[in-house]
Amino acid sequence: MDNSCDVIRDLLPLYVDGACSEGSRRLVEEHIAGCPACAGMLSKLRDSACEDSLRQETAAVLAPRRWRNRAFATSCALAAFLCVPACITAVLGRGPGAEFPLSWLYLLAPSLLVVMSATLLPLRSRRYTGRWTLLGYTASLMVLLLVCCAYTAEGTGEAGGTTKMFFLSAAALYVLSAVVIVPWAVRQLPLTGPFAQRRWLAALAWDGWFALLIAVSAAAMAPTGHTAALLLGAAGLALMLAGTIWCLLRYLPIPRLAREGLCVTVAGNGFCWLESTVMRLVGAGEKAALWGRRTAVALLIASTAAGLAMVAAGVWRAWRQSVKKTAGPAGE
Amino acid sequence: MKALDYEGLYDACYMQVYSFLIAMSRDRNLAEELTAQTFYKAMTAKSQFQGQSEALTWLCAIAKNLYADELRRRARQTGEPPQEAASDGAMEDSALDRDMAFRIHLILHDMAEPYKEVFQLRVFGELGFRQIGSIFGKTETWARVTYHRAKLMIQDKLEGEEHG
Repeated sequence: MDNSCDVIRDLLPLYVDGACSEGSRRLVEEHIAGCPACAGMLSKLRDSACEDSLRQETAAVLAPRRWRNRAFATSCALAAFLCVPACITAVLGRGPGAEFPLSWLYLLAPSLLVVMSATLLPLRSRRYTGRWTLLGYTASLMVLLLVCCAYTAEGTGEAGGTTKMFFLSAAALYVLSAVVIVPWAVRQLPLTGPFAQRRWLAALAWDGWFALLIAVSAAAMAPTGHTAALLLGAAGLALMLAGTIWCLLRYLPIPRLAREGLCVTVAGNGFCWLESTVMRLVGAGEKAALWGRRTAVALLIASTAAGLAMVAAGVWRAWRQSVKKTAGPAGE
Repeated sequence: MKALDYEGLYDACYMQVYSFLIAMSRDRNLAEELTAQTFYKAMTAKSQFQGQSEALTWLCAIAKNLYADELRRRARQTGEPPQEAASDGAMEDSALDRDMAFRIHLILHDMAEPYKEVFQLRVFGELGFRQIGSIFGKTETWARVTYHRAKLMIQDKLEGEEHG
């Protein structure tokens, strides 16, 4: 009797967690029916009072920890402190037009945001500090840039000037910072997938994409008919398109059909832009321009629709497959 | 999956330091506060540690120092020599004495390895048995059996306290 009790007691943990085979399960249940000692042990193992009390306590200890954390409290205080002047300047700067004497204060608010992101985010985030800081810093820098462009464009009164100016200056800023930041970031940030082994690829992709963005936006800002600039723009756009499609096809970790769908969408959209650029380059006449625009829009709609449909189909198929897999052998 | 692993280990580590401090100080609020301070000090320290086992020893050393500092601070305030927490403990609510979680921490403090570690990783970190097994270089079944044995040991000690 002792021998079989030992064997059953070894099996009990597996039985309690439902991880034993059918044969073992029957063996255990047969034995339990006639052995009160082992039945007692089973009920002890099933009693989860210990874990429950500990889990409750764990939840209570871990949850408010963030507020007690001094760094978090400091960052909240700093944020509130900096928000006040930011709001004041934003409100004061909201005067009528660029001639308003205090309107430059409008610029102060985003710059305070930049300062906040550089100082607070490292304190605020427990993990992924580098990522959050970089993200917040660049986002706030973009806001600053946008406001500056809006401010200056207001003065010149050029429609759409804000957007072009913004893209140009943003891209220029990025290429400048890329020389300093990207090598560091690429080494520090935990990259996944294909970039993990080839960090130079990540740096190249980042720098290249923004360099091309400069080319394209510079071309967009050039007066119509300026051939060289438009050629540059079209070439840049084509390169960006090709690069994006290649990266999507090769590296994106989503189902194959969805990847192809994305490529179709990107290709269609890009081609539409390309066509309008080429039209301007060629300096086509009214009728040709209209026809070109119609085909471009049609292509845009068709490619986006087809692409999204393919993405949906790919995702749905992958989801079906994963459901089938988990329905098979029981998980842990 | 990877992010969950990391978070589970971090939570387990946090609660292990907390458990250590409860066993030392017998004061729940103090333990919570000192644990937070320990991790803050650890994260802002210049030299970072890699590897789970070294990190825990290092963290417990920081925790012990912080607790000693706290005792000295209290002694200075009250003008008495610093003393370790008595077993009856001077706490805000003595009902904590009978709190099951509190008693389990004290039992865990004296438990032998690897039962202690496996139990803590499972309950505090909610890690899977396969992960726990791989941390020790053993199988999933080993982790499962060890965990259940630890649980039985705790239950026996709890019963012993009630009857003793």
